[in-house]
Amino acid sequence: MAHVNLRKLVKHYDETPAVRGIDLDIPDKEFVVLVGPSGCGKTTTLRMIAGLEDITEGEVIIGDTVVNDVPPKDRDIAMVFQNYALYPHMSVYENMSFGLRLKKTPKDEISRRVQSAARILGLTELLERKPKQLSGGQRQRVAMGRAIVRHPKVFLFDEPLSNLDAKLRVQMRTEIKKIHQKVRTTTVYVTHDQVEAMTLADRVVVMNAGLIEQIGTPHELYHSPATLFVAAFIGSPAMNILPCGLEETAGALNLRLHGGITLPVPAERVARYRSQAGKQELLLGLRPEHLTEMRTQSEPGQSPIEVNVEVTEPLGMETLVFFGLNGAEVCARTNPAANVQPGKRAQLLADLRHMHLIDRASGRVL
Amino acid sequence: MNHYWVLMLIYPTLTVPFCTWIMIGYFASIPKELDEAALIDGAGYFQMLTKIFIPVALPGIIAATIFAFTVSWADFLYPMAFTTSADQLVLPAGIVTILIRGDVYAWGQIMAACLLGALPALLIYAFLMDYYIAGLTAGATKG
Repeated sequence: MAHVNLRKLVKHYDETPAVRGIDLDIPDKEFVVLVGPSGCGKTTTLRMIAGLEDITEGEVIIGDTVVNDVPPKDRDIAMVFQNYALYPHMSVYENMSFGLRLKKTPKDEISRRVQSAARILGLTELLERKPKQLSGGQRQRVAMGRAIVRHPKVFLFDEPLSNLDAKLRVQMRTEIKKIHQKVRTTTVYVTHDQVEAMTLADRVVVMNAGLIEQIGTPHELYHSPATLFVAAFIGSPAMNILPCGLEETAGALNLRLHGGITLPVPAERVARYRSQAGKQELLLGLRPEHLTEMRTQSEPGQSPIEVNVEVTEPLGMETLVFFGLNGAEVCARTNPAANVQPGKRAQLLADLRHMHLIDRASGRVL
Repeated sequence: MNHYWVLMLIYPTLTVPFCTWIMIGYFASIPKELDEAALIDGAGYFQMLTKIFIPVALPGIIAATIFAFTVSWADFLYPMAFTTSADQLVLPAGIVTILIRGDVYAWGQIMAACLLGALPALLIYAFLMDYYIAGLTAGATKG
């Protein structure tokens, strides 16, 4: 096992920059997820760690060795691909043991390791089958088995669940987490699915346009996003983003949403935002769960807001309520018992103790 | 001239371009992740070629081989043009030049020779083609 460090890592395809200088330290045994939209550079970064892409500038360090010029086979890594990449002419056993056979590992040791990995992954009954005789989930498990048996320093996962159906994806997500808890190998996992990222990661690295936007635990990213991009990317349904200005009246701060609605800034946030008073080019970020049905007793920091409901989406445990506010589509999470109806006016409660104030020009959360 | 070795030099002018074309299509259908998985598993480039790429590409290689064989086996024009003596003639040209004398057709021998000529290609197509064209790549990747 080993730590992985990326130092000012840059990748250009001809003149097009794919990764634009990222620094990342991944301690031993950590499960790190690189997440971001298509084309943000996350897979390119993973492939540079694997040695499948040349590095334009910067360094990749695995353990204490700079591996820029080390071929993939000598990096002691294992990778699980999006489309499994199983060897179609080999049985499950041969697929899993291929790497060990190349290393001339003794046969009984190979057998022991493959059987052990097969037990962890529930593949014991399938060892003699060919990949074409397996289901998608089984193939994915074989791909993971091929990685596990080699006892590598680092596991690399390139969107391993994106070809599976929704139910199997949730199952395999749990499997991957269990496996990491058992083997504790340093893992770098790439996905565009933020739910996968949040559920699997010790730390999440949010990437955008070839740069790292923020690194943090799932809790940190969700509750304290550093930028507008992270705020809008993490969370489902996404955070509501509303243009607003900040006004100071008699020592108190008020958010004035474009369109006339005024909301008081909670007392505990006043000191933090006072320097922004008078600014008009701001954005208010409020997660749907902090915009709820009206309650009989509101607490300080919660403000009522009246809206014209356009659409409701009952999900059983909650009902999502969508409405327009000055041209922006806004989502609220309400209790189904509140019975909010589409096409009618409704009183909602905005819990501004959880608000985020974002500078529109820089995209930084203030 | 007038030796079947000459034909061996000439047939590739027909078969090599076609076989290249068939195999390029087949090689392109092999996912590059297979090679990358082999590299990461610890294979060098030569091992990747011999243990992964060639076994997976075998159906394409066999299809191209069968094509080259049947084209060469059944060819008539080149042997007629480049060989003349009976001991150097290949089967298709030999049937016409030896078993037909003027207006005398040795029908029994012609039929027997035609069957002999058709048999290898028939057997190859009957027993090998379907099996290999089914493709070993099934199951390699999603889909």
